[in-house]
Amino acid sequence: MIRLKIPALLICLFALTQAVAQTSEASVNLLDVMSAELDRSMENLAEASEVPMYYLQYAVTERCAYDVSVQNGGFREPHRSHRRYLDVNLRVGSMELDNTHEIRGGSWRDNYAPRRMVDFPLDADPQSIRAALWNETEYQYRQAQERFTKVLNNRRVKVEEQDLSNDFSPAQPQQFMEPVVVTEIDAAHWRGILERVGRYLADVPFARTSRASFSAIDKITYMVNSEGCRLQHLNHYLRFSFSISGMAQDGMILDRLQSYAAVAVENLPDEATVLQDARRLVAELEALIDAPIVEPYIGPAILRGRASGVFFHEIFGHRIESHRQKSENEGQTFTKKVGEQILPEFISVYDDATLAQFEGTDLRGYYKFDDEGTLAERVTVVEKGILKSFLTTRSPIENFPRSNGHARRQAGYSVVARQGNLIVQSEKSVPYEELRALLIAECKQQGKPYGLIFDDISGGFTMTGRRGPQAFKVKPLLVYRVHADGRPDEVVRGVDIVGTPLTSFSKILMAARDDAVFNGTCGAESGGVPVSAISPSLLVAEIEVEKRRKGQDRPPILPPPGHSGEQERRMP
Amino acid sequence: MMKTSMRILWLQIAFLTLAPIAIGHDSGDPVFEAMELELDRSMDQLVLGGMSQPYFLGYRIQDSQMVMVEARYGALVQAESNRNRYLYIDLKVGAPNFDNSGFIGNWSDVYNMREELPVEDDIRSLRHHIWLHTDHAYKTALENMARKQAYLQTHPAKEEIPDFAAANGFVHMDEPVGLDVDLGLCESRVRAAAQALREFPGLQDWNVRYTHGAANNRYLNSEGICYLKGIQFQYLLVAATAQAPDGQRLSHFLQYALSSDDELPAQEVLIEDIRTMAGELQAMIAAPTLDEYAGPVLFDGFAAAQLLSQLFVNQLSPAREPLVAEDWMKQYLPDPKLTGRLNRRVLADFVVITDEPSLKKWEGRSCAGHQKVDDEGVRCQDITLVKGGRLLALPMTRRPSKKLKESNGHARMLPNQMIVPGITNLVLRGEQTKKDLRNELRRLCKEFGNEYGLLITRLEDPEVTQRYRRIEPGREEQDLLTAPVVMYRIYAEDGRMEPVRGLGFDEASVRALRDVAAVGQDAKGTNLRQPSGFRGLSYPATIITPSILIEEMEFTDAIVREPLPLSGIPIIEQ
Repeated sequence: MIRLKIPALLICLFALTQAVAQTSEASVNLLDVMSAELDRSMENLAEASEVPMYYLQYAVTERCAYDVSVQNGGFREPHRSHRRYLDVNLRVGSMELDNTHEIRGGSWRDNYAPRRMVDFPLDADPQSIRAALWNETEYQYRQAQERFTKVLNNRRVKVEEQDLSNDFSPAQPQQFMEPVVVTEIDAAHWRGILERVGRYLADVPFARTSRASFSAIDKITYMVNSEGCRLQHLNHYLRFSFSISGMAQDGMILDRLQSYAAVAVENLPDEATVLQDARRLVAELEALIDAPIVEPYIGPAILRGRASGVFFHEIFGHRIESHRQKSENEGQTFTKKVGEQILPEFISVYDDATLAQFEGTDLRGYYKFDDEGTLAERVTVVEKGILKSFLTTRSPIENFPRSNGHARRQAGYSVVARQGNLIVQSEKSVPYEELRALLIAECKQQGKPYGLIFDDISGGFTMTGRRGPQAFKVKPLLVYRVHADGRPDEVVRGVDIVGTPLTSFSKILMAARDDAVFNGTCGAESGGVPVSAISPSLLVAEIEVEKRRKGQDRPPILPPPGHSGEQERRMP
Repeated sequence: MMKTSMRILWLQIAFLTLAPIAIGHDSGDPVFEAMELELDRSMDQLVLGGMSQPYFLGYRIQDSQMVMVEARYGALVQAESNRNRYLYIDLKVGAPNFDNSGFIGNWSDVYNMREELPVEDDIRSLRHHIWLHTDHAYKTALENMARKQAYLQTHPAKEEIPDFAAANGFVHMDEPVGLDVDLGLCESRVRAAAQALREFPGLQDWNVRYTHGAANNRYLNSEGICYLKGIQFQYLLVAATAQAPDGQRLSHFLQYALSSDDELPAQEVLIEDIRTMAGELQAMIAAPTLDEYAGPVLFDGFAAAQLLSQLFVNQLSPAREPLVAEDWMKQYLPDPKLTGRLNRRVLADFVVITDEPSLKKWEGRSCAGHQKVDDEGVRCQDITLVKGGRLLALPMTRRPSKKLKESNGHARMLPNQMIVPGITNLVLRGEQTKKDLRNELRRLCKEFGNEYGLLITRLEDPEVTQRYRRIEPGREEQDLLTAPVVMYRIYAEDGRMEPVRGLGFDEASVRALRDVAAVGQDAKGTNLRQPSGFRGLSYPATIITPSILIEEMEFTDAIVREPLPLSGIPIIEQ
């Protein structure tokens, strides 16, 4: 099961700058030390057992983070952290068959190890750095040898696999040294905005909870491998967000959330924009609390841009990740459909991790090199509705022998193919108002009394394995009912979008000219990775919604403190 | 229920007697003010139609600051500080004779009971959090009450024991404590301590972790009980691991647990202690192995405190176990072996064990368990747990048991703010003592016809062992005593002493305590984190004990072999 969610809010302060600055001086030295120990390990371990070690990679993820938040009107302590984590990837056997090969027929744990967080020195101390590398290399070497024995046995016992591709593919060793650029932040400025937004939201009489937060993360990756790869590269992740929740009389908790992601402080919104959006969120929540519940329904709907991006990320994006074509446990929805029409012919889909911005908006899914040290590439996944390619790693799949730079992971996990910036494009489009008119027309044609507009979506999950149904669920936050008879639109609540992928894609009728960006964090086998999804609003002939699970608690018995009439609401 | 006016009276008494800070309305302490306003409002108005109102409401807010510095091999891997504030709500419906407490229906009843609060002293925000969570706690209490009643319909109780004991109102106000730490100095000391271990070939991994914290715990309940306890603590753990030639992994450690404003030993002393520890570890991995042993065992120094902690204290509470909805959940709850033996012989008849929260210092060092008021706001009492070998008392909270009806002020708060009955400063004294227990050990060996006896100076610490081990052990988790790390055999004939390894206790039970043959005259005080019986949750305590000689214990081969490294650690190779 894969989940996409909007990350928690984050903020950076100058403390972050100090943390990064301390390490930058030592960064060049770190790669040298890593290389020296890697060479020693290859010398000592390559032929140490009957099964040779043919590949070794050291990756150090340095994470400097600062975050501060206001919860229900009160500040939590700003938190600063500076850590490094080590990942050692080691392969024994050969490129044709190695220890990473899938073990079939057992539990999922046979193929996905739990997260392993290995503390790594922050000091520029070669002895400690090398000792930490040595220790983890010895551990991973034993693990690899043990697993390779299981792989061999599993292959002998089980039937022949469908995809006989190698376990690893050659790649051009990359060398890149990016200078460390620190994030500089005016802490007082952002704290001031947080205070004003946070307290405004906390003062809303129907707010059950509210939160505003700001965070900054500088992520520096250091990588060397036994093929000569030598990388030092950076990503910056800034986020300002706020949310407010309320409770309907039937116990349903309703959330509204606004999040802004950027790679640089100047790309975050100004206070006026933030406050304007906060007021909009409050109005939307107020409408949601009194909104009627929608019964299970199948009918035409519009997925607004960001919602459509999430929809594609969940339902389509995860199914074009290469390991899902190879694994015998996966549903392999698209594995044999390369060259076939899988989407309407006016739709094309790309994944372009090299794209840092889209129409002025920073993209969280941008990166230069993936977590196997491969250069990120723009991949045409679907062209005019025809499936062209998959998102690949250095673990090849049938007919796709090379990586296109999509091996990704959160520190501590093993890499798998993941999305970066998924982009949906349509050759057939109309202005949004026209798309809305088409929705009403479609309702009338189908004899439906109303259609739905999914304005905002929090995330969702999709099941790609064979054990469960090939189904998905997407969780809308804001839904409008558009009546075919011309009555005004109304906010509704209490539904999730459900369906199966192949059916859903065939129902797309038209797109609007309103591309929108969703920036979030995707959680899957290899942990949480930053992603973006870009899509226009889409009119879909048929979308199924089902009742959302809701809380059974009654609304709070007593009124919130300070809202008994004795205090006036503080407006920003 | 005690209304504000009554509580204010209590607070005024507190100011008159202690007067460190003001609390409550107009007192200038916004946290207490928020607690009090919501407590009053909830006790007055919180009721769901047709259901009962709370008869008891208590708020505990823990405000903690902490600095953590850790080095591995000789370099820092972490140097951070944080500050958190958490709220724990104890809300009871029904009546003291029968209420919603003492029933575990799901995990959230045990582990997820606290809520994070803002650290900002914004009364309105604090009240909002308290309001929301009080509402949740009230509804949960009503549901738990119904579940408990339903459970008892199908699992009738043998007898009716009240759920909550009365306690006199007590107000205790410490000065709030703060944290004043020179982070740079901590970093350099921790780094240097880790680098000292580089001198020792054979060590494979090592860490030095230093934590310095300060916590202000505020409590207020509907009976007028109120306290502010300021606690300071420091914890330094030095741990190292190595492998013997046969693959056995041994992980040794050194710990300093300080309370109050005690200071860590000087750096030269610390480094010397670390060197001694590393030397012991080196000696242990080179030591010969034993396959089995049965005979006298001497627990010396830190190991004597560990023996008492694991085999005695860990088996003392809770005096009354909770009702548990699902049987499988019991495996994760404490299963004390001594609570059913009240007034029976559990130890040798010359042993006296007391628990003395009033004890402030031992040999110049602050005792971690010292306190005047426990975490339920009840005045702490010094108690005699064992006399003449008989178990006379247990640490008690306000949850009565069949035989012990009242609290003796031994409610201890765990890191998740759950309350358990626990020790404070445990003191073992012998009414007869021996000056030289090693000679006594040799005498017993001769008596039993053993060639040698065992001396243990350190048992494993589960946290350290788990950190370094790379393969899972067999049955270790269920054993009452962890395996020895530093162990010697002392020959009966000439008193020769040599390190040995490879043994673990063969189903050690609390009956071993009855076989205490002698205790020494070398009492030492050890501050430690006392396990609570709930996995991973412990509380600070002190154990003061001399060396303990047990007449007979059985050991079995406990070697778990791990593959040896194929290459040498680069630090040593260089």
